[in-house]
Amino acid sequence: MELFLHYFSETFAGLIVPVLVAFVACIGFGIIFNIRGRNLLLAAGCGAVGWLVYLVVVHYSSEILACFLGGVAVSLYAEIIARPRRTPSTCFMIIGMLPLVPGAGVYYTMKYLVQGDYTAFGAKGLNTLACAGAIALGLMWVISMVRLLLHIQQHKRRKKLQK
Amino acid sequence: MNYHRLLNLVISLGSVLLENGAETYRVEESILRIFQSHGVENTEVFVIPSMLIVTIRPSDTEKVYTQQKRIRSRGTDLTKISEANDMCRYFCIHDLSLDEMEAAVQRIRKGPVYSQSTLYIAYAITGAGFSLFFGGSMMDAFVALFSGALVKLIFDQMGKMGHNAFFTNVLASAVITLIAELASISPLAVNMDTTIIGPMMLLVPGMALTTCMRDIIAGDYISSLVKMLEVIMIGLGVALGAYLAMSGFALVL
Repeated sequence: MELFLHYFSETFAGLIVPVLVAFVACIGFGIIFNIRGRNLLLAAGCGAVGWLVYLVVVHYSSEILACFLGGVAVSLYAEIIARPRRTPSTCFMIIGMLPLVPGAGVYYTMKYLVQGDYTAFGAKGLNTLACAGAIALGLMWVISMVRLLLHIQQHKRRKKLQK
Repeated sequence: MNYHRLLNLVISLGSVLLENGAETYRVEESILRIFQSHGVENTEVFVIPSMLIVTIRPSDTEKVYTQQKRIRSRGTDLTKISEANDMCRYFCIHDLSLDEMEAAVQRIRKGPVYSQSTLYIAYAITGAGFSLFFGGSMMDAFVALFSGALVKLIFDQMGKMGHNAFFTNVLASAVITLIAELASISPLAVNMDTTIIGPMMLLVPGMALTTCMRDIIAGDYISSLVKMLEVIMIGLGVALGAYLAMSGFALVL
């Protein structure tokens, strides 16, 4: 138990700083996209949650899976928070997926190209593409599921009204 | 019911949504829903990111009403999208007069935006924040603060001159790269990579990327294709700008 607590506190301290930085950077982006009031904090929270999931998963597994699950976490958070806030889930999703976007990957890919290091260019480029695809897949999967659930719900309601 | 005014109202609500970057299916659904709640059965709506076409055939007249609207300005304002979306649902549930609805749409259109100085600070903080986020030091973030604010200045000035997104992004990314290169050989001795990546995140077309994916899911392939092209062009522009600055710098040194 003690060992677990020690391990937990150590990983926790390692997680909290990057998640906080992601949160602050997302607030900046929220202001650029003119999000106001409490929605601004919630949207930045979306980015923090996505990045937290990414960091935890990447510690145990591969980067691609981390991107996928990060995308899933971001879109789930957005869809859940959107209903009570009466705001389209896209507003949270756009901010939330920014920390996950492989901006560094794209930059290094291009840098290797400039340097003429084609092996590193190919490897980094493929890795970046795979990460971007994984995020998109995670997002799409959740959005499609939510649409399906809403459709079933509406169908049930309509049937009840007919009775 | 004055169908002309209703159509005008719906077009102006739809263009608020579209001009601020809403997804195609959201605009189409909103328009259809408003007409349905006002008892217009036959409605045809066609929306792409640059165009809005609505035709209605009310059952109580012989007439067909149609209107098109070309969308020229495209920005990102998530508060306006959210309010317009909410307002549309409100119109459908509550029975408002046309005057009230028009006033509401005007109110959304003139909604609050952050002041210029706040935006400059936001650009600076985002640039610095992402530079820290990608493993930069405090010094890197400090330099990124300035290039972030400079990105905003470039966006504003190029927007005023009416340049397109591609060249704006080429210029912005070249400037970011140059600043980082200069800072890395100056006594500040920053890490070039993290100083570039931070402000470069400001150029990522996050809005187009997300709406593109949502349009694909909704089956609006024309709109998603348009947005995908936007993403690709901006990405190419950013890469080209950094490439030019880097190779130019290597040549001079």
